[in-house]
Amino acid sequence: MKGYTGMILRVDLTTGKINKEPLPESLCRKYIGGRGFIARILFDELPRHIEPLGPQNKVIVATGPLSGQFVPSAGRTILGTKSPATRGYGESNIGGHFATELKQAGYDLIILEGQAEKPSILHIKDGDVNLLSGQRYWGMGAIQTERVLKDDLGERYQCLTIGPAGEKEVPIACVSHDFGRQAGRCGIGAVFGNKRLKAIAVIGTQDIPIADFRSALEVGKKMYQACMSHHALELWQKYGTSSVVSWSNRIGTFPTRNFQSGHFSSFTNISGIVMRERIVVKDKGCFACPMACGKYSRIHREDKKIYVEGPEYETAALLGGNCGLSNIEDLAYANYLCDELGLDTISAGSAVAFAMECFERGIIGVRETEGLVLRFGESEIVFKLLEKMGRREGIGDLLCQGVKATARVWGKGSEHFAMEVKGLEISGYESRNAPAMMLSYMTSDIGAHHRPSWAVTADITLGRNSLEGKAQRVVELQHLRPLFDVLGVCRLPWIELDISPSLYVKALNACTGMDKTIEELLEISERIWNLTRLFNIRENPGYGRHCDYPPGRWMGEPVQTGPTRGKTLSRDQVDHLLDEYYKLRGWDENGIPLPETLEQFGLFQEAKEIGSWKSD
Amino acid sequence: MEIRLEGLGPLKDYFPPEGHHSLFLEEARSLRDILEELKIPLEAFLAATCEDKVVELDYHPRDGETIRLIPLVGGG
Amino acid sequence: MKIHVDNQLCTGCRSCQIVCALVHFKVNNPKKSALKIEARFPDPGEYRVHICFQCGQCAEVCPEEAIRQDGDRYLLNMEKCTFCQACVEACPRGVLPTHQELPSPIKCDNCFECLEICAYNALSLRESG
Repeated sequence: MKGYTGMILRVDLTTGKINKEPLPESLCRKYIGGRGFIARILFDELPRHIEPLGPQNKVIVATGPLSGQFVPSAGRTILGTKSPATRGYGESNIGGHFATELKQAGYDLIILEGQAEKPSILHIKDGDVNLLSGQRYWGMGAIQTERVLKDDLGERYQCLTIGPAGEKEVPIACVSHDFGRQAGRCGIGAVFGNKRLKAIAVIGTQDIPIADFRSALEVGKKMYQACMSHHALELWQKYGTSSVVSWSNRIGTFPTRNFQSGHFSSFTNISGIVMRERIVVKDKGCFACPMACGKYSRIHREDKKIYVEGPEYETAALLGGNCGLSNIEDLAYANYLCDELGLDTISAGSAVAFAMECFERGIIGVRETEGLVLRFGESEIVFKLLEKMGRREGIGDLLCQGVKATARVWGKGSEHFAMEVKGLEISGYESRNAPAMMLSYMTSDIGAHHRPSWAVTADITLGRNSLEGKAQRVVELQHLRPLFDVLGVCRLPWIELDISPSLYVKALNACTGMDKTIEELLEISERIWNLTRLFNIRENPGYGRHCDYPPGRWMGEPVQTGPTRGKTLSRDQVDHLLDEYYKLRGWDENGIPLPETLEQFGLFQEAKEIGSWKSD
Repeated sequence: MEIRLEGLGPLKDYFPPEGHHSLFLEEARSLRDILEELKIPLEAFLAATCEDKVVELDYHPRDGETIRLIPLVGGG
Repeated sequence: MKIHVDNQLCTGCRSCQIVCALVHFKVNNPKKSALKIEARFPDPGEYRVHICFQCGQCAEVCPEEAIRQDGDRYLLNMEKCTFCQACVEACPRGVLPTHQELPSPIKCDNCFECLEICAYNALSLRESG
């Protein structure tokens, strides 16, 4: 089938064997690509209860049929694995140019298996695939590695890299690409590190197949023109996601001081306006993107020039407001540290903020921090903690495991404000006055993240204090949003520039020759949603409703300051949302998919087996 | 002074049929005050721009300027 | 008319390359385009677009007279080309890209599709001469 290269690259890092397998057409028709491939393959190929940081885990690096095609922002790669952070389904996506290059090299996806004995680089040059020694690069920063690899192999290579955090198997380590893009969540960098895979370097020269070239050209041009004539285009080109900082503070959803508040009084110092004025030097785009939301920045520190792509909204939220950083250069430097170490800025920011609150409350003291006095707003403390986490030194060795693991050790009620769900730190929206967003975080399949369902607008249009219609909206978003991770493209043109999903469907059909409708694609998305839920149930004994609750802070504790001051949700309200959600999904009161629901999506085998997993 | 306020996309609901407000102000006022008086919810738009540059709510528009409100979107 | 580049505005998205290959070779392959995008990261964090400015030096050196002037632009006749690559070497900007699957270098024909697709106005038209 066109649109795809038709080839899977399977790499056994233990033996060094590299196999090229045909991509089954049935997999393309039933799961389309990207996240769909990942969910199905992980479910089928991973033995039960394997260790995420062990040779039996696999990492899948997947493109979709629209990756590399003439579609706005068609440059997404999706990575998946069993997450060391949650011990469940892990998935994260990354922009830049890797997906295109991989398809031009002739592969739709890479399956990484086993564990290399020594640090390695997976080298792909069209049909030539081999493992090179990665010893020279081991210890280098994630961004530094990319620079040196390009110097060694060629500037045109596109690379995925890990930093010292990934090498040290830090469960919040990310995978990096294109001098500032990351697949941040779920600790996929740690799995790379455990496999001693320092980088993947790919170069390809082949055509990416298209079924109906004329239709593809027509639809592509239509989509580009729609982007270019949209009233919000300039805003996004100029400010990227940093344009959300001011709005989020205005509506009281900006994480502040470990989510004690939803409004940061110094937010104007870290807003998009200030960023553009003071540090941004380049608007940097991903493949085929008319929006170029990447804000490449330069700061000076100790007479050195430091470059960083960002800070993105999430970084401004979790490392900025959440840690009390009120200076854009300090925030950019913290971002840079995370990027070179290879740490997810969301999880790292949350961990730092958690430690600060624990110190303020006297739950930990200078003994645990080796003399450091942890206080919100202390930028040097933030920098030191990030370094320690990235290298697993001192307090960093515990903190780098995330807030859930750290709260378990420090105890004394700190679990109440460990801001995570299922072991993944909550991302950039304080949600006590945004029930749909809270439900989104509670029920996201990888743990608390906004990628599957970003529902703040629904809370505004349906009423901040109302629960009415919220579960319905979350379910809808959880089908529509991940479709982009299935197709292998960025969802921002749809979200920010109103590009109709029907155009993506037209593009899919034009590129592949398939004849899908949006309804069919949404059904596939719902199938995948049930499959990832099953993976979590299978892999985490006793998984169920209790895993879908938000942290204690979000049930009963009022927001301290700002426009949402005093607001909270009660346990009853959270239960109400969950009950409605499960009903809409066809799951039982414990959040387990009912057999008839699974059968509806063709998951017959799984429907039969689910009984045996539940009782383990 | 005369100021023009425009709302794009779904924000048109908060504007008269001609699609914009023309405001005649005796003295400079903050955007926040102007919007509150026009009963345009501060939550309802992502950002306000003046001559293609984003401005915060404490901005005081000057004579002849056009303020545009960019509608809410999906975030990221 | 010739194409003028403002490198400050280029974001490295390569949409120009995609559309160039699609229009001229009916394939999706940014490496079969007449434009080269050079990325310079992490320092200074720039993109440079390399594209033909129709100077005609390639036409002067071609031993087969495969490149001829046509108004503002120079066109390459693939049937006359023997792939000797004299033009590639003579090009002052190095903007006659080659690809192992193509029988001749890729010569920009001023179709201006790249200008139209660029959402950043990095590519614009200037008067020749």
